[in-house]
Amino acid sequence: MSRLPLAMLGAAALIMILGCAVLAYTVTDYLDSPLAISSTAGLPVFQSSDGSLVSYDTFQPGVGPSLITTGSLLMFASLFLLAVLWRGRRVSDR
Amino acid sequence: MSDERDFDPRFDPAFQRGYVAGNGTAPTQNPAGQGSEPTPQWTNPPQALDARARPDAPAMDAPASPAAPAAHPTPEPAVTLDGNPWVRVLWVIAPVFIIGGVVGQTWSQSRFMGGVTSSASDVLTSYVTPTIAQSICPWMILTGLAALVGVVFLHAVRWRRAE
Repeated sequence: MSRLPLAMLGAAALIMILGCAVLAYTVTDYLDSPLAISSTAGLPVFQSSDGSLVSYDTFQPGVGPSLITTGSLLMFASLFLLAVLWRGRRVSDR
Repeated sequence: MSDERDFDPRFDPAFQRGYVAGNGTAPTQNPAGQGSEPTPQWTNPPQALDARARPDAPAMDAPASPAAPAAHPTPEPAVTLDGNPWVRVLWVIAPVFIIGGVVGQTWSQSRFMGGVTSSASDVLTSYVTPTIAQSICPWMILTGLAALVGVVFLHAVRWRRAE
């Protein structure tokens, strides 16, 4: 009876790991693509490690946070179902 | 005058088809009682008849005991939450998600409101990470609150009065 919640828990873990991977890839790809500074672009300007000024486009997290959020909600649902379906000790066994 | 009709011995003949009151009708199970009063076996009160009509009623041929307890269905023993590992996990993730979400949301807002400083790591810590936190932390708070409500609901449902 608890196979479905356990499968949900495993799916939640996989979705969260996938979301973290997608988010890490998105951040790495974003940081690897600096733009030349411009006084008319309206973009924030940062100083890189070598002292040069660089600009970055608006950061869009993509689907990574959505996957992490979905995984956390699924994890909560599976944990709640596991807690409800858990049959450990009965009151008469005290 | 004898009557060959069969009456169901479990019930009072007065409530069965073919019974005529006062003409000496007697059931076949009591041939010696012709012309006599019906035996007390059939003069049961309506409560006893109703009790016998129920399928879950106890057997009526059992000796009646005034101290016998009433027939109540035995309740299913409740399952306690003591030792439930999943409830412990819910108790852990609920405050972690709530506090982590609130702290992350507050931190991201303070980073955005503080302005952009000039250092090499600020791209990540002052812009990228707060953006990610602002997209995840509200859902963390909601999930933590749902976990808190769920685990409190479980405790309320499984609560038993201390004996």
